[in-house]
Amino acid sequence: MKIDPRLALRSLVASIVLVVGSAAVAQPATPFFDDTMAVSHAFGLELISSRLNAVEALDGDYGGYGGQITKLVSRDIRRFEGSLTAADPALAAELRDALQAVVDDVVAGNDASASVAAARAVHARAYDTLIDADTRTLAFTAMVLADLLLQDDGVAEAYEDAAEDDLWEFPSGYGALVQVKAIWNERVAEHASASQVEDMEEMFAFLDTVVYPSVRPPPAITGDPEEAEGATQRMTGILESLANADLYPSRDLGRLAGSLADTLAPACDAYAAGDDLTGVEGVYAVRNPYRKHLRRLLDLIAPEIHEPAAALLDELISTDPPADKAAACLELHELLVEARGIL
Amino acid sequence: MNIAPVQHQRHARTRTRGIGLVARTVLLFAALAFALALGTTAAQDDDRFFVYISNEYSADISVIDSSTDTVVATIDITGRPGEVRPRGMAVSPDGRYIYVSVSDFMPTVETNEDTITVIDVLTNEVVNRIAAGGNPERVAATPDGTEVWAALEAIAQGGGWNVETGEEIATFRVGIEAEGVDVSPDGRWVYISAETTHTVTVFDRENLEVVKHVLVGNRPREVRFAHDGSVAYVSGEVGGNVTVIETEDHTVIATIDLGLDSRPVEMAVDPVRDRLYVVGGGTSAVYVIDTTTYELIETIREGMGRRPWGIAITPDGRKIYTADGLSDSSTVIDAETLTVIGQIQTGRGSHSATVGVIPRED
Repeated sequence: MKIDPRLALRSLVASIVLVVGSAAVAQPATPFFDDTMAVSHAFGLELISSRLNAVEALDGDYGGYGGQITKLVSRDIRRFEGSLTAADPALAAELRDALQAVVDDVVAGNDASASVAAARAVHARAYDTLIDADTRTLAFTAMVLADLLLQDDGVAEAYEDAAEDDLWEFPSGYGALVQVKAIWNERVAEHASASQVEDMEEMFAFLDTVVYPSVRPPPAITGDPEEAEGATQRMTGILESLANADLYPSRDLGRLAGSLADTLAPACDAYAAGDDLTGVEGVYAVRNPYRKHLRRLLDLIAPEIHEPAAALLDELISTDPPADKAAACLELHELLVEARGIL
Repeated sequence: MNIAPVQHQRHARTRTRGIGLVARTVLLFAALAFALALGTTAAQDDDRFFVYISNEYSADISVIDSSTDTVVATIDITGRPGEVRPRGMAVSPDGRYIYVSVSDFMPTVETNEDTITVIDVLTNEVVNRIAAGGNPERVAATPDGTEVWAALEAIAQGGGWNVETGEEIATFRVGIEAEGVDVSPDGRWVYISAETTHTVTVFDRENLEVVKHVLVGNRPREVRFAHDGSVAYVSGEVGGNVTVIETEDHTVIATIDLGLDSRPVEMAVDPVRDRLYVVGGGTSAVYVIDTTTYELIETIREGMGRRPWGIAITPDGRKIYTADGLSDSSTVIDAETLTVIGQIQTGRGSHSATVGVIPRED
């Protein structure tokens, strides 16, 4: 290949600048890569709090939220149920029962205030069991907040899903916003500068007034489905700055694909050992970041990887999983390794 | 297009050092008298440009005269603010027409509102609406002014149209949530960035085929070719960087890191200096990059409007204008001193900025 000396010189200078520049600045923390499973567990726990917030705010008049609240037991708890069962099987069973009671109340249209209060108490114990104090760094908390803002069922995505799919996703987004505010006020705001606090409050005000003025969805969302996107992205940027943490694992897609393969490996071992609860929580930890950051890119540049990978991810979390879950998991693992090779 | 000789200004300043105030005053008046004797028309044409700011929520375009930094016209685009919006723009090489990406607020749905709207700036009237189904977000004109190419956000495609006839030249698959688009100075390549797949798709305009998809910085917003066409720059909003693609074989040769929360969006290539200007949308800043070293040499924050999303520079390299979405303004920056020298009130939700020469009526 013919090398243009001018371009080569530019590349060399750029490399030197980048190396010198990076040495002078403290490296940001990478909570997603450092604590992938703990982040996924915490996200599941915070989603439960978000849905409980929504049920409380709906105050007995649950409308169509019965179709969404079932996710407490069909999705959220499955993000950490294997680990919780390993740590304290009685507590895991107690939490599942408590969440099922909330689901039953909401679906039946009964007042769920008592079951919500009971579930919150069990949930707090589960949180303390799964997420130890050493793990709850500022960077880790910022990562969980970023997930609540940007991931599926979070503030931005729930609004978009409400606009495009099921209007009753709306209360989940409202509940996630309540949860973000609570965590911000209790654990993060004290670390922020005055201007960061001011910027965050401005974003909260926007979300409170324009996006989620009430827990109840409007009759229809006719405006921009991505109305919350700008504010939540801005908030994530502020969180990155104040925590000096990289909250977008997609900045390095090759590393992300590799990390997801590494995260999945123990899940495959668990499936092979017959521990499906631990297996499926590993799949959940992989599925969200895959869907958010990799699926569209791989669909464009490597559909031969994406199509089977996406199908396996869906099958493994479904209520009718493949007969040989360990084999399916290993096949998925190989695809992620392959993805790492091309990114 | 005439480019004002900024280097000559520097030389002139150097030469006047050591000359007394009286002598300088006499020289100044002499120069002014000489200019008046020659007539001012040519000089005005060289120094004046129209700066166009698209306003997403008021659904109009603010036209700024760069010689006075005042809004001289506001062009209504749709008559339905809040429903149909203008975003990215391009100007024909002769300055006569601006091409505006117009769409509704449903970025994932293809509707009849999706057009490239053509405006004659001599009359400020819409003269054509080219159907560009798929939520066109940004648009670029070819160097010869015969075609426009757009990033179609809703359908993950790029598309090109003849500006005279409105005839579609080609559509092709790109990454998801296509946004940025530019045509190389030699007219050969169309580059289209896509937010969700973190890619730039390279389209060969001569053979009408996609050449490759290039992985770039996270959430690419805009793509801009250097004036000599040797490289293209891609802003990565979440990546906090600018990817540099060498256009000979469309490979990434550098990634310029602007920091975790820098949020780069639109970019402007300086026509007379080795510089790239990048707006930080979420950070209310303009980052100045030396394009010979790929080094960040300045960050302009003081006096900036809020949430600048668009940026453009006048063809003489003297002034930079931003489109500030939250303060509904355009910030004016002196490109020589890199300081903010003014704020101009625009419309609601200012989105993009572009600059054109002022067309001659004859």
